[in-house]
Amino acid sequence: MSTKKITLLSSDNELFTVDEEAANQSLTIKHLIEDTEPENGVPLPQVHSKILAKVTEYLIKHANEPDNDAAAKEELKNWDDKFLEKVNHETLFDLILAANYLDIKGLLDLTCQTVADLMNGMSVVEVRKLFNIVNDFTPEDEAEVRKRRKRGTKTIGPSNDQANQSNH
Amino acid sequence: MEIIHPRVYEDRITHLSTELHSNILRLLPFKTVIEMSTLSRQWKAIVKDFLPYVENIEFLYEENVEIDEFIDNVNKFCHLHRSPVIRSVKINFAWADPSIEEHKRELNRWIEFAARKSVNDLDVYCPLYDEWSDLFVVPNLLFACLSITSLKLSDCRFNPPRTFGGLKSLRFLYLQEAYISNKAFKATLENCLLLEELTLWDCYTESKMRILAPKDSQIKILLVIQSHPYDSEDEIPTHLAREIKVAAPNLKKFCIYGRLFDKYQFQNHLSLEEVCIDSTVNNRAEKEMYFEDYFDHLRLLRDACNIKILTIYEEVIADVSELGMRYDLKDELHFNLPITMPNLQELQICLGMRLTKKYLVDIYAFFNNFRFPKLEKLFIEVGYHDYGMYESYSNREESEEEEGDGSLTLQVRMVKFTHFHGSKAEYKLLKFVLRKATLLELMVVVAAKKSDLEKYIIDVQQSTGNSSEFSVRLQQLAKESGDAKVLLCREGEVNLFPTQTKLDWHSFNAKVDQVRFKV
Repeated sequence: MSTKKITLLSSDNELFTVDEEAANQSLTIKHLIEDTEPENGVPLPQVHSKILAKVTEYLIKHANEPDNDAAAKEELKNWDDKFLEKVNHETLFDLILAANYLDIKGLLDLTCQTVADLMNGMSVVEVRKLFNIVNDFTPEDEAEVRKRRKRGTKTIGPSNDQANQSNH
Repeated sequence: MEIIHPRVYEDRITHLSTELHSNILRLLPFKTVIEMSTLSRQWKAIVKDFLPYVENIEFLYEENVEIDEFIDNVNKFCHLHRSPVIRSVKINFAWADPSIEEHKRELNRWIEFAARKSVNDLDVYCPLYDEWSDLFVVPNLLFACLSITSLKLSDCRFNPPRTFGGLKSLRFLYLQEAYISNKAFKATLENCLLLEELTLWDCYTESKMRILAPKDSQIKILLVIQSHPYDSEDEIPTHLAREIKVAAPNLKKFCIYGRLFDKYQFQNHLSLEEVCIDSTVNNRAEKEMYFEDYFDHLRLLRDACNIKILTIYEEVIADVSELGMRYDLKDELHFNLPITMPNLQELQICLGMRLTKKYLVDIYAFFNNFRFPKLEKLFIEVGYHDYGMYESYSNREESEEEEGDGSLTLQVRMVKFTHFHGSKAEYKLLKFVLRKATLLELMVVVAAKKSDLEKYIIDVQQSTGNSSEFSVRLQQLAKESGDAKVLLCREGEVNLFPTQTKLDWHSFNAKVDQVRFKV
């Protein structure tokens, strides 16, 4: 039995061909096929070929997810870990955006988890450095944070934020 | 010539959508989420927008925070929370003052908040207990929370209402310093049919604790920790159980830590595979007071003789030794030694104090009074702490005869000694095992940290090997070992661990950190 092939067209006009079953994991692609029945490939103007290559790699691997086979699940989990191992931050965030746009739940969960794992256990200074976040607090703001931290209320945020908002 | 510009990375994460931010933030622990609000001004706003939707919440005690401010902050948080569900709530209300009724009311409100939001995992720690009347009463709303899978409570009266229909998703129940009557046990066990694990840490109940689960109960693990010793001068408080009766057809693991029960009655224990008896809190004087109940935990071992994994501590060893000598008691106890455990595969023996000669006598007696025909692995930990009250009743001097009759053999293939310091008594024990374990394939000896033996190993490893008394003794060991391989190593060098990990229930911090807030 031959499976139907789906062609995907990246923003820079590169073509990617995958099985329908793999493509259907993306709800966006699935709906595009159902609604428009495109003949010359499904146009994905928001996804560059560099990212789409990675996305299709994921889709193909996850096309037949094992239900009860523990060993196969383990293998797939290991594959997931490796899949994002050598990806730089630029690509990681592009993948998050692509997974979000293409509505691929598994890939979105995986990429968000990777970012969360990076943030978890790191100090604020380290997180800033890692993601190039500019600390734009004024010295006064920082003094306020330090004061609060000294009082130790930092784990219960909303009230502090409320209080600060009224100051703004 | 091509000029390569260094790549300038942008701040991508800040510019994600609100939805994607919450996708990421929801995967972080509460504390980390709060910390992220100090990244930048934008992040402060991002976290603020996200907080009403946070699903993992922690309100933890911190020094320097006034209790009123804490209460105020938690209440504000609850008020602002918008998400219809919450996955987990942890409350450490360590300042709660038992004499202030308002504190208990606040606590009840927070628990009700969690129950209304269909919490999965609720963990409330509030060391209120001072007087009997100080315990807070678990609100009825929690007993109607069908989403809860893991429930940890302390210092409360756990009393399901008359209309209790069961916590239908509950798998894990942990009660600490809580009062739970036998009636409440019954209601809980009969109505919470998915319950798998029950931990009772210094709980108060009637003098005979009855854990009687229905036939289709899923209870697999029962842990009882009793760190309050009897006060030998007073009467035993009536709310500390002295006897336990257990009927749980699927129970696989039973562990008792601390003060032992006087009587154990196990029904339908055919599924039982693992037992741990950690009796290091008992002291001999208490036991003498209740002499007829002296050996009941050994009867438990006899009754549960089909188990596969067993962990015992030094008091049990001493009791076996004493029972071996007390011929007068044997009829009374309907007890014949030796006890055979036909299916036991793994035995862990934890010896608190440094080995002494008297101690060795008891260990020999133990091996002479038990038979483990299928034993695969034996773990012996010597001198794991410097407190405890090991005192042998034997008062005999160790001699070769005390090793028992020459026919004793240990059917074990792997032996691991840990916390080994290298004393003479310890080497004697090694040699004893090597002589008796005729099928032994591997013996691992792990040197205690910072011991002279460890220093010796380091020296050898760095091949500055100065010969010492250790190497002489090791050569002797090699002679005794026959076909078995003897491996001397430092902690962490060999990956062979007992199935049952130890629970450090002695220290208060362990209660809070290891067990309650384990990550």
